[in-house]
Amino acid sequence: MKRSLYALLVLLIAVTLMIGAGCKKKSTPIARAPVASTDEPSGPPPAVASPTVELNAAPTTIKRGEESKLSWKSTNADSIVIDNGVGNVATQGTVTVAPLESTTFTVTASNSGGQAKASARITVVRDEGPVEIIETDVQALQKAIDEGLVNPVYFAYDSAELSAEAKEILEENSKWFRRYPGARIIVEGHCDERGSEEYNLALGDRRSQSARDYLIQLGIPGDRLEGISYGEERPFVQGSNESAWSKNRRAHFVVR
Amino acid sequence: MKAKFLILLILLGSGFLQAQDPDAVIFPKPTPTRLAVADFTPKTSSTPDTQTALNVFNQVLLDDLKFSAFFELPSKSFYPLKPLRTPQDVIFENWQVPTLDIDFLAFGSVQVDATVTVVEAYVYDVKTRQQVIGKRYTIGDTTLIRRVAHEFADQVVYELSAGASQGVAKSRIAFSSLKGDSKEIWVMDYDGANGRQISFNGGINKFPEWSADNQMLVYVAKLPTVNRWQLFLHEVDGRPTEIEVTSSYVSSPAFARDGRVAFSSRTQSSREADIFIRPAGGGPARNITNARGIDTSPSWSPTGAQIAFISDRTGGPQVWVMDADGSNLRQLVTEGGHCDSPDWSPDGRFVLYSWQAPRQWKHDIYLAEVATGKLFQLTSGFGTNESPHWSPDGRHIAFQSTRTGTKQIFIMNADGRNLKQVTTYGINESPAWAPYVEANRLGQ
Amino acid sequence: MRQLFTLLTLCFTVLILPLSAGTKEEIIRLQSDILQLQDQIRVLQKNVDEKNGMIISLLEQLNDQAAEGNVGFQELVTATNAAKAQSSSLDRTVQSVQEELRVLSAKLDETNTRVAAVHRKLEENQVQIQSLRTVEQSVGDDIEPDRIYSATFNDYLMGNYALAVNGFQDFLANFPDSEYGDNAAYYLGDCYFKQGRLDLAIQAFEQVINLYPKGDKTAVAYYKKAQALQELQRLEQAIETLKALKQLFPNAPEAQLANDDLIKLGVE
Repeated sequence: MKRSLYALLVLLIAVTLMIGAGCKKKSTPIARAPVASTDEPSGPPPAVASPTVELNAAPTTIKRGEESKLSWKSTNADSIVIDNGVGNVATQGTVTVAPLESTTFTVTASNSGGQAKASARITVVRDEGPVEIIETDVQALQKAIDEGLVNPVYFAYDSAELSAEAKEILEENSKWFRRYPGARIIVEGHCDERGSEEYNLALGDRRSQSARDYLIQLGIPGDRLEGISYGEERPFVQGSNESAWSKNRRAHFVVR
Repeated sequence: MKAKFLILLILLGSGFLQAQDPDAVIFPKPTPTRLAVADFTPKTSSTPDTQTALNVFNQVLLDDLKFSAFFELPSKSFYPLKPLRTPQDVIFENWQVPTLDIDFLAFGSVQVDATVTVVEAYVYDVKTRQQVIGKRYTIGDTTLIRRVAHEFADQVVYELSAGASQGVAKSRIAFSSLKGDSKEIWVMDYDGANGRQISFNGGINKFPEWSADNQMLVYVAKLPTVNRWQLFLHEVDGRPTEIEVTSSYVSSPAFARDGRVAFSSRTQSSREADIFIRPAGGGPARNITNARGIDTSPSWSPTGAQIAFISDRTGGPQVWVMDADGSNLRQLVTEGGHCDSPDWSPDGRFVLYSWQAPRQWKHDIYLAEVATGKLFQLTSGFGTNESPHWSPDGRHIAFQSTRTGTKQIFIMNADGRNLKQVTTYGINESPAWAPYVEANRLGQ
Repeated sequence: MRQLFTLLTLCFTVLILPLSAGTKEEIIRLQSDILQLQDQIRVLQKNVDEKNGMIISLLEQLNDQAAEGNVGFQELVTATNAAKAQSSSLDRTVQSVQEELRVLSAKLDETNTRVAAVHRKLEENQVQIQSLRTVEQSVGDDIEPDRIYSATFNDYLMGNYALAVNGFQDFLANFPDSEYGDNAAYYLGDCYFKQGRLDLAIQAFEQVINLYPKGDKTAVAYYKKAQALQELQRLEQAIETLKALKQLFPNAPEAQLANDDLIKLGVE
């Protein structure tokens, strides 16, 4: 009896493992620049395999005047072209670029069987040196926050991914941040009470980073944005239900 | 038929933890030692001071011995009425009645005088009528009376358990406590008495852990005026020193026995938390997990050769184990849901952790056997139970629970019995039970 | 009188303390286990005469162990008597007795593992001699390897490497195909590594690589083998091993560590 129980237990664990492995959430990495896509060829299947191509930029955020390195890899391609003045290139390699404004580079790989594209965005931020704090900007931005013009962004459970809605809010917020360049902003990451203390402190950090990264992409200098996690220490709303929890999973903005 | 049964079990089991009853494994239960603890009495005269000290002493001693989980204590209503002061007062026949059926008898006296308080304490083997313990404690001040009771309780546990435990009555627990506006680090006796504030920075202080010599605490703090988390080493009787880290995030530090500190942090450019190890003598910390995802909550194995920690690299946060150089990585708990706060047992065999089942929001306390990955559930039902921590003898567990409303600290046996709430005021969390001090560790 | 009692208590302690970390209850359980095992051995010994010499030699080892245990016990009694003579330093003596007890308990642990192994071998032989009908019963008898592995692994975790080496060796000799086979082989190597017996460690890690090429300990066996080779200043071989690791297990965490090592060795 004991033996069969044990065998059952082993089996259960094995099956749970398999189920678990099958159910792993695909967490999307934050701020990944390259977006690879393969255009589906229409019509009859081509005689030649369609090309594939990948493009990466490192770093993805630079200050004006700095350089970034584009690197690409392809398979089955006869010709490879990168736009924005780079031109024809080898089937794989790297090139150093120094765009003056934020630019999306797209690589096109083609052969007789079809075409594939991939792109990578390099965000250029203006280097304004250390932030010069202007008292009137600080007050004006504080007022904008108090009046609800600058809004927090909310996250799904156990996620630091920005939804389309969150991105819109950040775009709106970034206008206010740009209007008052003399104010420094703290990006606070928060969690609901459900996760555990340690994990939530790390998750809040991830949320704060995620919102901060997007604001930098939108052109707000990183020097003006300080990230900090509060984990589950500072809920907006008390309560143990989804309506409270959803308001507590947030990144919000405080004038320093 | 058997196959169908299997499938049914799999379906039932896949959503739940396949936990076993911890009793059979942790606490096999043959006959426990039966012990009577007669109320201690005034040695010469019953002054009010003596009576006050006696009340405290008797209560503390009884609580300690009850909690030790080594003894069965028959009800005091069966005790002979005659008070015991010295061994000459004991009439063994009266203590050998079937209603009591005790193996040992503890008794003694307390006397408070103007300058000195004397406690005389005895344990006798009732069957052989031999003295097992005879101690005289002299203190200058009755405020130390609890300490004497703890001291004697540990002595009783040590002698009557044949050295299996040194007892935990003298041990202390560090924790994080929100009283008023700030969450500070505190230290208290294991039973909740003698609470004492350690940090005074007015910020959010979290995740305290002890050094092996009990002299130092390590914790993280978010100070009101500083916009980042800071890692502090804090001599219990001294001042905090900051250990520099590479970002605004640092969390859940832990001392190895040799003084290395593991903690969760990240570099300025990385986006997610990793485990770092700071060398024992100081110097730059080394990142030992570079994988995608959050890595946090490191806990050292007793020898410091391995680390249990939390990682969400494959989805939700789960318990992982690795060597302290980052090699030999493996997942210890594979149940899905959320795990956190792993704490390696003093005997090396188990990792304690909290687990939140998928789609639930309450956590419970579980044990995983390191060699085999077998799991055992320790709490269930009431409130959310988190941040478990072993007692130094590995027979008890401290944790935080909301079962009585707000987050408070509880202690219990390692089999889940004998639950006792030890904090009541404010919000109290992250208990860290102090380890035995190396020099006193028997047989090491 | 009191001294006599102290002696009794100490003897009592000696008897019930073989597992310093265990509770009194566990010890009692262990004792009854040992008694049971001894009973079984007595029965089985009748068959031993007819069987092969290997088992006899194993039993001899067992007797040696027991004899060692007895010697240890005598020493303890002597030590106890000495302690009794100087009651002022009784505490310190108790501690030294404790230490000796640890040694004794270690030996007893070892004996237990061996008893279990012998027991198992005898059973196997009996099954063969009896009839094929019993084969079914021996299938799935894996609770026992589980427990032996678990106890040995705990010795490893607590840094009792000499003890763990014996345990893992026995385990591998008896249950090479158990689900913990590759683990035992790897941890055997790591015990040697931690003891500084680097040549043995390298051999053991190579065994993991050869016998369990698809096991979950293979990558780390490569890594630890390279560590041992580096300790021995056999850098060429270390580099070769690290490169093989990177190539075969590019996604293992050890591949990253191998990379760091190769950089340190000036290769990349």
